[in-house]
Amino acid sequence: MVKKFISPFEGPWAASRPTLFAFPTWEWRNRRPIVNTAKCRHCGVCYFMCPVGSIQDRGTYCDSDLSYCKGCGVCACECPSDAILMVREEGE
Amino acid sequence: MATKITPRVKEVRVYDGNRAGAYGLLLCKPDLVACVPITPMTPLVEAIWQYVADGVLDAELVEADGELSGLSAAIGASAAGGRTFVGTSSQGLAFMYEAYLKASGNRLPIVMAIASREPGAPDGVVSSHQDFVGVRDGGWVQIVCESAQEILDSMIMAYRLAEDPEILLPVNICYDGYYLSYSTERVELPFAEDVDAFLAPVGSAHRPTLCLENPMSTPTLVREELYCEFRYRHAAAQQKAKQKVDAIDAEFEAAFGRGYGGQIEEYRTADADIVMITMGSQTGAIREVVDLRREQGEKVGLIKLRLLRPFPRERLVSALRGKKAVGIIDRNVCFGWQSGAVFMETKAALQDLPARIPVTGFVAGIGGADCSMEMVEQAFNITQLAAEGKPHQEITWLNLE
Repeated sequence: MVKKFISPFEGPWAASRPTLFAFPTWEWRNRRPIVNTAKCRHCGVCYFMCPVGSIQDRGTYCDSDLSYCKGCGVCACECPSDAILMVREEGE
Repeated sequence: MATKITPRVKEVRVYDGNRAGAYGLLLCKPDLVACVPITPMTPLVEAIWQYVADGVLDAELVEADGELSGLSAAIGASAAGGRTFVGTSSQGLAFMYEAYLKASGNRLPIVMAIASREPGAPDGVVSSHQDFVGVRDGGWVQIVCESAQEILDSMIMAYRLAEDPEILLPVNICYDGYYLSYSTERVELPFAEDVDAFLAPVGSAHRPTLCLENPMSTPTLVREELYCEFRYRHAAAQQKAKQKVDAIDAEFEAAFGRGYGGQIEEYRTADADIVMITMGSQTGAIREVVDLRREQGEKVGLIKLRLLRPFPRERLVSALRGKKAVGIIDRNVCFGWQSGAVFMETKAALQDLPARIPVTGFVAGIGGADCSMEMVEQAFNITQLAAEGKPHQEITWLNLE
């Protein structure tokens, strides 16, 4: 007999709300995205581009959920407003 | 529950296997078809493209630059909730192997026709089951057909199975290249509205899909516990598919008047001492030999394997209980065993029976060769020796040994 299933889905699917139900990949990160909320136009390009679906809608801007962000920098590269800066993770 | 359908035939046409498959697909109204032409499946693609050009089918057509991107397009469309179809053969199937695993792992109900052909090398644009047998552990359901009519009907049943919320698995419709893909046969065409009614239960079924209103991610990155859980559920769905295939086949027979026995088709096996097992186009030759031998009073029978994956273990074991010997004619090679794959798997399944039943294996029809009635006679003769407990060769490559 199987223990209780963890996922509500039959296959490797995950709902993105409220937060993505997936393996936390933050440990892999050596750079983190810093969003300049003044420059962010809330267009959502980063939301679609993020390979792990870590971008969260904060109402007036988008930001990365750092539990899942693995620091790949796709969001910073694709952001049409240059609102995201990748900075090195240092220590804690 | 589906609405009651009364069996009726819209018209009778002479179609080859590819055309019959294309017509079956037309009735299922796919949203996206992604194909790269490859012999012997090409006329199937041409027929579908013609349906769209004629305005009888409203589907997105993807002229992919390769089979890998073709199946990948189907994966995307299927994840977005579409009904998708892919057709291929041989090298094309080998080229899409990476996406093949993704489709089943993501539990996407894609239907793929495989007009089977020897994957080179040796090169040779010739028939055998080697291509789809080679991917049998890819997690798809694999249905093997014997006639053009069965291809058409299986296409409809495949979507009913694949999109069932309890199953959610991609399905291969496998049929012998050349022997079935290019042979013209009498085919009964069902009414479109009857097929609509038959597929209605899954048309409204809920499955996870990618949409803007409810963002989701697939395949999610998982490891250890969650990975094992998804593999387990995938394997469990394969097991569930067996009974589902039987149920869908019974319902199809009630609705359209044609049934195929579900997982396996038994032919004169009830009182048989010797049973031959096979799959695909050579079933016809074996059925003829069974009839001839029955006329001479020999108690012989035939089992046509319709499901290669999941393997119909329980049905086979119950059909073979008490038999004196079982022969398997494979049109494929399971390297490392010198035999075909069905031989190996049937032997494994027969361990479930208390009494040991001798099993003889035969390899026939490799490289597009005909599996003739003479070869089947030889197979029966050797299996007869096994039934009598006399010395015999366990595995024989017919026409070579």
